[in-house]
Amino acid sequence: MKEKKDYSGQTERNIEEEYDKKMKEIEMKIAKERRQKEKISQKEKNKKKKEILMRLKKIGLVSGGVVALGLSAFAGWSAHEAYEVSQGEKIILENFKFGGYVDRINRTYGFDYYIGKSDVSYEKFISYLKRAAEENGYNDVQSYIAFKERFDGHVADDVIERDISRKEIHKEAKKAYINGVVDTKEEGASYGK
Amino acid sequence: MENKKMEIITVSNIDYAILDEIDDILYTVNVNNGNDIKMFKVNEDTESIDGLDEDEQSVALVKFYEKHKDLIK
Repeated sequence: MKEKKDYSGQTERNIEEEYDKKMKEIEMKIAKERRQKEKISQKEKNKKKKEILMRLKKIGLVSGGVVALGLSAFAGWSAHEAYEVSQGEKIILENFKFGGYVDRINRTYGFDYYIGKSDVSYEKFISYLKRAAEENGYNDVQSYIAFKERFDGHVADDVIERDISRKEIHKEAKKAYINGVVDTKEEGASYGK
Repeated sequence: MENKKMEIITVSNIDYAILDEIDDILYTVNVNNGNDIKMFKVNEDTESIDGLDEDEQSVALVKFYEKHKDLIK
């Protein structure tokens, strides 16, 4: 008896999906190991810094008035800076065009993800956001800020797939706050003008 | 106001009292001028104390705000 052949391409798709899954697992393992190594080297660096600082520090008497003035100056300066960064993050999110209803709903068992009226998988949700970031002309940092603000850091991490430092976030947010626009990748297309 | 015993670092011949330390950043005030506040970090390569660039300052200030926001508000 002749064996029935499958010409739908389903087998190939299954193999591809399995391959992608395995690749992702390997990449995640490598990233985890790299993070662990970085953590150890950071710990060693911090220890060295503490030792240097111990050598450079001395003890002295300082006027209470000077201390109070210094602390209030830092309080004012830092509050102003935090305000600018948060406003910049808001501008970046507000100018991101999601292209329709894109959201997630917190259920008792976890999140459900929606694009338009369809309930989609987390993977589809992430790949939609990747495309949306590209279409908006947002760079990695701007996209990270928009998704972190709209959803959370995990979603933003999965879309961007690289570590974004606080320094990068603050720089981009402040730029948006100062300019009042998001400086997108497309030439001449700055959202928020 | 009473004088306080504090940790001090000397940078460019100026004494700065350390008001706070967050993630290796030193938040300091000039012991002779309460309006002169500066942030420094330890440079482990040169084993000295450096100032922060503009982006580092921004991050450091927001960290200061986050740590003390209950008092600042």
